[in-house]
Amino acid sequence: MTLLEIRNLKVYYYTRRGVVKAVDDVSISLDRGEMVGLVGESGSGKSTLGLSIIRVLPHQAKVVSGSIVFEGIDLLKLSEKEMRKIRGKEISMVFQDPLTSLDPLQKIGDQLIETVLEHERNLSRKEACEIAKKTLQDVGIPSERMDNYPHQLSGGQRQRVMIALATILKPKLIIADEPTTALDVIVQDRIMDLLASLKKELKVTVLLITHDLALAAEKSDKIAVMYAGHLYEYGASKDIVSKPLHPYTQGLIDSIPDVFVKKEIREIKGHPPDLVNPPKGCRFHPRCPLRMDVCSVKEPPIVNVDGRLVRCWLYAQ
Amino acid sequence: MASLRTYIVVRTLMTIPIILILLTLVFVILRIMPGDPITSMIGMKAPPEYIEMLKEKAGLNKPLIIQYFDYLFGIFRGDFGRSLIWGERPVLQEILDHLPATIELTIFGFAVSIIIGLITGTIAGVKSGTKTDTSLRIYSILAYATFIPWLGMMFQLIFGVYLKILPVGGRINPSLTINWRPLTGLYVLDGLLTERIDITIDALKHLILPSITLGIVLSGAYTRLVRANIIEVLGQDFVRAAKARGLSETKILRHVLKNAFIPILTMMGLQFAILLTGAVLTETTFSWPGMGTFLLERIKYVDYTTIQGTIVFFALFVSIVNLVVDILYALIDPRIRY
Amino acid sequence: MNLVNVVMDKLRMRGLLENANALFKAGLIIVVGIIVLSILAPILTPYSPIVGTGDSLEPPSLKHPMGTNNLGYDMFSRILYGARTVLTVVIAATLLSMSIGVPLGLISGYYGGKVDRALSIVMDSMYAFPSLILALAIAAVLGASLINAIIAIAVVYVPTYFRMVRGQALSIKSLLYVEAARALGASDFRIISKYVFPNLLPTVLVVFSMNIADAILTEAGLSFLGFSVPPPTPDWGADLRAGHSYVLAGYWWLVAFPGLMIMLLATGFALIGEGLSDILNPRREVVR
Repeated sequence: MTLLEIRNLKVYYYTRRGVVKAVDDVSISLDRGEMVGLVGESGSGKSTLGLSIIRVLPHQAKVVSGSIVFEGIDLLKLSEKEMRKIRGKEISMVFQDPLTSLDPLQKIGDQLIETVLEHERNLSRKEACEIAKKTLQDVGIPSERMDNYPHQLSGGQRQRVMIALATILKPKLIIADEPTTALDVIVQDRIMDLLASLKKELKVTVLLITHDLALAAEKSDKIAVMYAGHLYEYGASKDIVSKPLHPYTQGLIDSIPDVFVKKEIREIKGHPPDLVNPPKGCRFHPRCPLRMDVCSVKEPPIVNVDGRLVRCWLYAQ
Repeated sequence: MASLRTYIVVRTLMTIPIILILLTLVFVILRIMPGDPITSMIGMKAPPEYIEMLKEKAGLNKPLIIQYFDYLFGIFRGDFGRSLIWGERPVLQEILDHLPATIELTIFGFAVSIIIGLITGTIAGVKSGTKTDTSLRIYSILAYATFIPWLGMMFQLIFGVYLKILPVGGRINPSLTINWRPLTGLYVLDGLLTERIDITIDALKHLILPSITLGIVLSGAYTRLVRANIIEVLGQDFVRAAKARGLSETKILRHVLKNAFIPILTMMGLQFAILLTGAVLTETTFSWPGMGTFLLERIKYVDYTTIQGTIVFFALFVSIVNLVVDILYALIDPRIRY
Repeated sequence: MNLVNVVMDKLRMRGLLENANALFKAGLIIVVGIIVLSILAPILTPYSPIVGTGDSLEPPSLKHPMGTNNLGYDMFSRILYGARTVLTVVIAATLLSMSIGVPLGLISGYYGGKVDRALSIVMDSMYAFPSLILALAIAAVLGASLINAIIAIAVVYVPTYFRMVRGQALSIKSLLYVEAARALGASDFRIISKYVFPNLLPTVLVVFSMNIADAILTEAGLSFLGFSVPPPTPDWGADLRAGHSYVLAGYWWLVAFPGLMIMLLATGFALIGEGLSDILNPRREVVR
């Protein structure tokens, strides 16, 4: 059942250098209870997409066109006041750096309580405090830590606090923007396990934004591959990893080192395009090993190949 | 915490060469000129015997090296010299007599400037990039570019001469101080301490115009500071994260202010030198009997030793205030260490 | 639909640049305007600023647009010619200050070592000291004259330039391409002139404009206290000094106009500095 449907979203940044077309006509839908990994290099537009859903973009970014329909309501048409009711309660976000994403001068318990009371006005502070304690326990932090300040916790614990903040009001959609990138590998694993188990318990949809295809493949049900502001492939993780359709996806997989299997690591040649002046035709064509003539002329449409969406001339006519 | 202690110790020790250099600078400025300082300040018009006598009293006839060490050791002993004019009164004593007036003015002026600066700076920072921001920035530039004596005189004209509701100069109505002795020298406080509310009120009335004058002009610099800090804090991730949780703008603003407040306050402390400069001009405009008026009067009378002692006092005062502020800042911001 | 979008794109970008340029342009107009007015003084007023006109303490009128002071000098004339004095002192002082502070800062920042440490402490001490009081001390000892005022003000601002240039030199020095140039054997002089100096220029310009604004206020302060150019040389601060005692009797024009001019000229330079600073240093954008 569809929870979120993004249609033809265009989000541009207006800078001195020019107009950066960060998200340029992307359509994607998320179903209930699934984890979707949104994968791409930096500059692919994945973070912008995530921020656009919850409408927390920097002020030089503007949603130029498109719609984001969440449970039947176009979020882009809501007023700021209405949107605020949704943020944190229906849709929440986990950010990359837990150290800078928490108010350094406020105890973590208070930050949780504040969030609860902001949305559930009729609760008493005591009740909110109880909820906060329970949520902390759910993410694996003992409730004695309520009175700690962020800098008194470890990186992994801080990220758990961020997750607690994101789940405390039982949202329907969690957008996790590189939630583990700032953490070391072992902690990464634990956090991802936490996210996965929360997803199962709360039946929440998770949009996992990451540059790490391996991470997305491990934990998510579906994978969406973004490049230069466009969506290039979208389908079940297992299928994508075993049989990638788009050359870029193939390239990403080839560049993942594997501890157990000796394989040649091949990097994708070239560098990410300038989003002010993206390449004509398919944006990936300058770096594509399977490039054809038509690729530099016309942008390929999105086609459905056995339930998978691909944007590539290899599969379109 | 060990590194904090190190910082305090090192920073305090660093003050010593700074003070020595300032003292030496004052010494050099007041002496290494063609001729001698007394002659150059008086001009050739005075009778030579008078000049000789002054030079003798000021110890200017001794070799430079001896003068230098006399000067330095004197200061360490608390001897800032003796007045050449006013019956050999110790300079330090005279300074301390006039200091409270300046301190009182400075405190009130500082308070006014902080209030204006915080309010305008916060609004400008929050509304950064909008017309409100630009107009507030222009306000801060205008305030900074305002010449204190001019603003003071305009206020004197409007409120003292035309509207006649506020006094134009001085600290207090002299008739109130018959048979009254101040305790700390801060009349507003002393009035309360000696149960003379009328003195406190009168002192406050006299303080209004000078503090507002000083406060407005100083606030120009503070608006900029506050605005820059607010913009800096607003750009931090936790603001974005708070917004993503659906917190209202007011709540977020409270968080921002708390975070921005501490560096703002300590940065203001570092602007102490500017405060003193402003105080001197304010005092002369409002005939305020503080350090500024004192120094200028002595310059007029070529009371050489007093001038030297007063400038030395300023140097020490500023150095110590800067030291205290630096330490306070380090106490609060754990990143400042050696 | 597409065309509208494209046009909207372009407009949104312009907004940013235009805001900064507005400040700069406004400041430039003010400063150039005052300079031109001061040059055209002989044409704009028939009176000399230092010769009594026989009408003393007259309020503003058609004959004397800004009134006259107690000695019968025409205030409008004193304002125009006063601009010359102020601009001369301030620009000369700032240039002198720069010519000492910038090279010292460059050497100190680039070469480092004991020289740097010694110079830094001296400059920091001077910087921390109240500017007006320092200038006052120097001017008092030297005596009141145009040259001495220039010297006094110049000395006060040397640390400003020193610190700024030194800081920039330090950070530029460690940039990779400078290190590369050095590894390739470029001489120090060449490195400083080709890499360090040009990178400094924008910041120097900004500090220069802000500094002149500050110097105008310091000069006004000095002459208000009686330690700048000697009377009857036309000078705005001096006019404020002379008019101080008359203000309380209601002769507002003696001080209103000179004070306003000080503020206007200082604002002009400050606006140039702010505008330049905006253009050269784009600020971080914030989430609203």
